[in-house]
Amino acid sequence: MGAGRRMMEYTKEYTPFFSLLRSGLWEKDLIDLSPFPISQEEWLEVYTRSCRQTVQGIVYRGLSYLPSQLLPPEELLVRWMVESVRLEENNKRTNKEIMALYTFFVSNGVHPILKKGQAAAALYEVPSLRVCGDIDLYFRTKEEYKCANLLIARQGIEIHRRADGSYDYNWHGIEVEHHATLVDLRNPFLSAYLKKLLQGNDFDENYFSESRSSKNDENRSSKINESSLYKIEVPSASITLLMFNAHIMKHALLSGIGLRQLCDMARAYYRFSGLYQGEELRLIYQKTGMMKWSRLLHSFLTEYLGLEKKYLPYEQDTVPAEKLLEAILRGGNFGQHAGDYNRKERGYFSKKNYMIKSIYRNRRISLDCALFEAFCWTAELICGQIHES
Amino acid sequence: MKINENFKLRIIKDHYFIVDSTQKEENMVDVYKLNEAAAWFWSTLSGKEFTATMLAECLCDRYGIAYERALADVETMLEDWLKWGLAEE
Repeated sequence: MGAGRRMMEYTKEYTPFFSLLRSGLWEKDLIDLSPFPISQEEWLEVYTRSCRQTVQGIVYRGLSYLPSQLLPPEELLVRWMVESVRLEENNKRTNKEIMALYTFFVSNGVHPILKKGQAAAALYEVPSLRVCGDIDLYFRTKEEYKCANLLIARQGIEIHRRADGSYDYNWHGIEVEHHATLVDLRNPFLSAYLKKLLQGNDFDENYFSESRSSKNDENRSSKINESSLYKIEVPSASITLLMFNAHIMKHALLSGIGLRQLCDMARAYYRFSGLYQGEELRLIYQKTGMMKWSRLLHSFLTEYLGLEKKYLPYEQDTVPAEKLLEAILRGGNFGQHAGDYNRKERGYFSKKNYMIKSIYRNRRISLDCALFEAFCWTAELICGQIHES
Repeated sequence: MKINENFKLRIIKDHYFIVDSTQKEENMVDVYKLNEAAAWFWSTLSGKEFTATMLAECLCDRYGIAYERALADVETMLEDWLKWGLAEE
């Protein structure tokens, strides 16, 4: 089947899924109910796709905006409700462990910055329904980074070096990653610029709550009851946007990307609107060689996720975003649903083989949008894997 | 008496369920279907102590039904809740 025809099929097949996703993402009524009703089998497909893209909690919120007679069969609805409770419990547990980890580091004189993950959850109307992944921590200096790795090892916890130079370990059943870089860009000519950029940016305190935040909460923290919260440092609005964008680009070029990360980006643009200078971010994207990629990303966010154009950092022409959609639907959560992905596989050759296949699969995006960055990442990962082996 | 806070209420339109949040196995989770009145009780009683007579009075106020009938309905409901571990003394 040709790419154009395949995309038309995708678009038609995925219409109910995207309608519910947009509705849950923005907590708004569905604009068009014409794709409904759908059959029992189609409902099961919507559920399976939601789980595959790790957006089942957002789509679950979308169900509340459907008229009663268009809801899924009760058996599936109950399954979704059970899943929503499981997500809430996981978020509660992850937030508790972030706090424990943060307290542990601070008491030892190390101050981590929370990257992505639960910091992204705080951008949603219902943070507890975002699927939580790993805990990603960034350390501002090499000394703090080394010290943090050492502190964990001294606890008797096995800590592994990854191909990209970061470290991971299991903390009370949750995967934690330590990063020495905040922004996932590997062009060596940018390192001085990024260093300067980060030095000039403050970090904010973010708040986490197990309960639902106010629907009209423009500020991330001010309207939430502080007694149920704890605080941890996160990057400022413009750096968070750069960090999310670069992270999505990295995965789109390499292992593959899932819809949850795109939803995070859309929510971040929406929630940070007015908290940063759009023109400043445009210049950052320009200097970091991300303009072409960002145009594709922004087109996807507005066309498929329903982000209003006024929330984008700057005006731009829309481009067809089908190639990004295709990569997302093919790979799912960080490419984990691409046919040959095996997370448990840690062998040198199988990892390398998977990575090369994955980069080849995503070549349409690399060639069009960020060839040099894709080259730098590939080189770094190959070197990292040689080091690992 | 108070409700068991491990059970979480889920409402979508006119579907009301409570789900046990303590069970780990996805396919082995206790789920109970509630009617609209029971779901209303559940959401308003969270974290509070209550008695059958208090609930019967609330039911009379909300639905305008006779006290005796409300009390009988509430007692039957609470008996079930206690039996299934949804509420505790």
